Amino acid sequence: MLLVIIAIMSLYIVRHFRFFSNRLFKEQRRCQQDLAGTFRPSVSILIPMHKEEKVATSILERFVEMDYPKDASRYEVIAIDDGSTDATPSIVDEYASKFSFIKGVHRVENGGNGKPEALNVGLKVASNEIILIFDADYLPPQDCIERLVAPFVDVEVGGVMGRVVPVNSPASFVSRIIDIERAGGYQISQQARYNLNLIPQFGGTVGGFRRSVLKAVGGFDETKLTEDTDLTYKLYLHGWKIAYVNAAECYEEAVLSWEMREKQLTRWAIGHDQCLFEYFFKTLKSPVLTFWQKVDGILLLGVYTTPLLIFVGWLIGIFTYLTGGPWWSSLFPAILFVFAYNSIGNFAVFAEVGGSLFLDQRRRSIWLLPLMFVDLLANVWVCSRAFFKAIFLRNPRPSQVETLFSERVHTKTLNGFGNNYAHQWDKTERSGNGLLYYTAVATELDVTNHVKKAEIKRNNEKRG
Amino acid sequence: MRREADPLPTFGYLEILGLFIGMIFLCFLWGIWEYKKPKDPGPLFIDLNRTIEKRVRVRECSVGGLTQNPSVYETIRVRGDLRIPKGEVVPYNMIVEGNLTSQEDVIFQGGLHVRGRAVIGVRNRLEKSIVCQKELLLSEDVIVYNCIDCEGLVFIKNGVRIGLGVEGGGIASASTIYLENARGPLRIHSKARIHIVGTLEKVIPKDLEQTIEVKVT
Repeated sequence: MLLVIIAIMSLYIVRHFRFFSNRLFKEQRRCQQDLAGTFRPSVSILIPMHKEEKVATSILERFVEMDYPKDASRYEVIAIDDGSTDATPSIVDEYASKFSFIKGVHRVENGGNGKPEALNVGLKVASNEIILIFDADYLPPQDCIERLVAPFVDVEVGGVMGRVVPVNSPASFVSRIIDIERAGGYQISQQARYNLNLIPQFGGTVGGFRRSVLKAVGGFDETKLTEDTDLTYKLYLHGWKIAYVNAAECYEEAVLSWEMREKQLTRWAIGHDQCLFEYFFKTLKSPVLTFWQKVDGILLLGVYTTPLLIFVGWLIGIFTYLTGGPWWSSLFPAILFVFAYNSIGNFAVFAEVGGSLFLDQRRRSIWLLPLMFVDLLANVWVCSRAFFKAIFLRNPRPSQVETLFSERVHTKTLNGFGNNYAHQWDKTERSGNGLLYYTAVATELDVTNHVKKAEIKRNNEKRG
Repeated sequence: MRREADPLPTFGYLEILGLFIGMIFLCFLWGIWEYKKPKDPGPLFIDLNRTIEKRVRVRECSVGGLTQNPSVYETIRVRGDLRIPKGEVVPYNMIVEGNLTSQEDVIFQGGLHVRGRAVIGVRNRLEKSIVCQKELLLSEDVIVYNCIDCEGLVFIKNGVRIGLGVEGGGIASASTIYLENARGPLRIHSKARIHIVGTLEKVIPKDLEQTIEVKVT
């Protein structure tokens, strides 16, 4: 058992160091970014919102300022108010009345049933060729859309994913750790998987799909907690590819406390494990995927079960040591500890995080790496627990849910382990501080520019 | 008989253990020290006013009625080489896993992805984009509504028009682009060089010429 665990963990280590070396030393794929700005297909942007009064204005404002042709036939922003009881509906209405390309969708009677359902409702309203999805707490820069749509030049690309960058990282210890973990996950892991023609993942936000592809795979699966991972595998199994655009950065509010982190991680882990149960054999048997795509696909599916393996490995290792196994049995806990440190995280391992901070020229942040150990311990506990919750969610119960594309009706809901995860919003609480950091930096830039201008003026005056 | 524990080896063990734990905590110390400082100004600090560079706009659509076709195209995958005869209409997106050769007056209503090399015949019309992983030759008077993205050499003959669709378009290549008597503004990105030549005959590689020969015969 212990040897099997070590073999699996070794595979993850090889995988991650392959990514690391590819990203740092090999040629990078261009992802059609040379064409960003010239190719502008029609786009529908979906923003699911549930009690988002703290952030609704800021994201809608960003899409008003977006550098993209604003004629209604080619650019539409669909703000889906999913049963909000705060000021979100009025904010959406205000923007919809001011700008013709913003549409407000209110779900009053059946609202509040979770993000996938809200997205499916949004899809019914969306009329354009490319569908992009943004969470309400995200702050996209002005070139984000044209960078994201550029890969759709390629007919083989069915989906696209951009880079997520936490904007409020100085706010707390947790947000700083998440910041560097995200850097490794996107800058190294996602980019390398795209370079190596493996399986870059759609992350549920800052990304999108062709409408025709979404229709072909039946929209967003409302029975999954991570409908994004589910869609990733559906796309690949249907022969499509997902392009990762590292240059399409989008800023987000990272969670600030361990409680929020635990909630978020639990949701991701359960959803990911659900996909593991569903797609493990489908991935292995797929006639479309290459051998290495299958290997990467399986390892990606199992990424949230590795903490459990580590945990079990520790227990067996300690037990073997205490019960007088061979002399080398005492090495197991230590080896597993090292393996864990190098391979656990949200796709971000120690080397990957270091490499990404190096690429981002954030040399000082590398000193924070040892503190990721705390995150490791949290991951081991939360993901191990989530695995057992996921097992109890494996058999969905029927219910009547109206969904996208009326010919396909999902008839499943999830109830298990004392929790009803599906058909409710399980998002982390917004702090709303993203905009503060955003604005603070913008002001700082203005001040810097002002000082520079004043300096130039003084120099010119001196020169007469 | 019960053995008495030797205290000296135990102390030695504790010393090593203490040293080990000390070293582990040392790395945390640096982390905590860094955490206490203000956050480093990484390159990803927000630039609210970041705008894209002003790009050369693709020439305005000069042919009437070249609007986006709203219908959903089916995508087909072709394993091996493909040769499309004269005057054919291809009504879907196509992924060709080998080489593609098209004869004159072919209309591609969907997009193209060619893993091998592509030779697009005279007066062909591509109503979407073409992505090619090896060499690409566009013959005389070819129209590409959107974009060309190519990993290999690109040869563009006289009279080729690119980016006429409402979505716009341009050319990007990881290698050299050869243009024959290029006219008008065009958005071109090449990782290597862009050559404007009088005639392409001298620069086209011999094996690509063979592909063209096959097309002609």
